Amino acid sequence: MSDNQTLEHYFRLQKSLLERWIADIGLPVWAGYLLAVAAFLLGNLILFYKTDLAPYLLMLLGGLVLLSFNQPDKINFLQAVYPAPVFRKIRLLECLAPTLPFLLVLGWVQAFLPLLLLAGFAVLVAYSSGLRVSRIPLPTPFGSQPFEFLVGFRSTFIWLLAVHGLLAIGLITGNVNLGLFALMLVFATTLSYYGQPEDRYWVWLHNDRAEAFLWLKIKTAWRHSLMLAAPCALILMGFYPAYWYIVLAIVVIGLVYLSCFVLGKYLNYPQQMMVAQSIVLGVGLFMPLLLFWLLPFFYRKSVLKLKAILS
Amino acid sequence: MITMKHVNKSYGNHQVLYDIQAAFEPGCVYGIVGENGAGKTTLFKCLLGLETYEGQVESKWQPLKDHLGWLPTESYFFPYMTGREYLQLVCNARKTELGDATEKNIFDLPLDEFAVHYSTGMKKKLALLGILLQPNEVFILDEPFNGVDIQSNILITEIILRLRSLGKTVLISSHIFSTLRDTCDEILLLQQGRITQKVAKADFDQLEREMKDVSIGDRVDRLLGGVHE
Repeated sequence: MSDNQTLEHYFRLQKSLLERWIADIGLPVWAGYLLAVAAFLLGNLILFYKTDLAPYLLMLLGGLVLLSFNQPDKINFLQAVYPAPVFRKIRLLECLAPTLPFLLVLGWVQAFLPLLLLAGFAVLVAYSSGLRVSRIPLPTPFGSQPFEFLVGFRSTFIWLLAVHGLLAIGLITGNVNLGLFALMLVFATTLSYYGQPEDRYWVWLHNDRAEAFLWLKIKTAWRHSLMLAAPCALILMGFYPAYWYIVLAIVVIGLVYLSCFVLGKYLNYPQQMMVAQSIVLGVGLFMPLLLFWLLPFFYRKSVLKLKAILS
Repeated sequence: MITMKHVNKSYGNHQVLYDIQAAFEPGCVYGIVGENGAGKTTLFKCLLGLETYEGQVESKWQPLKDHLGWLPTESYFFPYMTGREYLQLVCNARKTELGDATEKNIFDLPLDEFAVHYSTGMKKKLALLGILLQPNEVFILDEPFNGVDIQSNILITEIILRLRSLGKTVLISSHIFSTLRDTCDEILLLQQGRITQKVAKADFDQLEREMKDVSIGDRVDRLLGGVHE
């Protein structure tokens, strides 16, 4: 089999896996593709409508998506299985593919600097083994309840550095909106820590009842997210005291969103959240008042699901 | 004591366990043996409450799952989590103090390194250490000796014997008969979802001979006879 045939076989297999995943979440394959494209375009429209910094935020998002595809076990497996030239091509294509939609939009809006930075980053990730899981554990303040935040913080550390870089730029240039946006991004990052439901073993292990288990999860999420967001929030309040109420509002809404995501993780447990549930949650994010109805609903549904394991 | 009464388990039309009846006493070690696919792990999952089933599992400990320590065949470790943090997580789940993890690290594991980078044997030892640090009454050990070095093998055998003397109930699944002979009071032979024999310690040698006869038969001759002889 030639290198090109090997590559074609590999990417056909990846396409099949993607389509099986779409089918698993209950969507026809065509609808999955359509939904992804529509969500991406709509997200871009909102982003560019809302802020002048959209190209840089898009660049950061592209980088985050790229890093989320950068799974060390998979890379090790590929390296072990394929000859070096094929492995390099696979890595390059796999790093460019998820960033391509972002690069196209950046090219369309003629934002060439973020485009070059993102493309360069993709090539760097493809050819670097240094961005794989570091073997030196980063110290964190989350060791007393080591789970979502500990794992999430270490896996998004580079991203969080970039977010704090945005905060610094906001402070230096006197752009309060950028600083506030960085605080929102800190909370948005913590939401991603609750995206994947854990294996049933990790729920079964607890000697709590379902209700207590959920409360513990929510309280831990609140405490840890405050630890992560507090420096950013306090610096903003220090530099822009007049905006204290906006900072406070972002923190409170962030905690409410986080509670929704914690509950959302167990809505369809042990399976992932269903598409309909994700859409309801997505709508809730844009209409915060809806969350006052959603939170009790999510709580009751999650308790029911967890009782099958914890009762 | 744990009693399984007429436990049946099916996945759709495929029945995996048939009328399982067994009693597991405190201070006893039980071996569960059977070929791959015989239903050992499913039986364990029924005891753990991780599978629904027909029949009854009765126990004086309620709920039973809160008193069970389970060592799966392959434990899952989160990326970016050190061995020490894993032990903390496992202890937190059962509301027990971890204390001095270094003191309790009898397998000399590199606790401050990421657990996902451990070797197979080290992962097994970390997972075992985790459930031993919990105040469990019953231990279900699925292949505890797999991939573990000889020194740790000896240590694990000693631990199992100590658990027995402490009045704990231990269930072990193992494909290494000698490890069962050294530790078990009774061996249950599981064949195609049925417990076909319950063998007391005095008859372990007889069971091993029977299993050898059934397992080996003329299989080696069929494989190697025409090629190497």
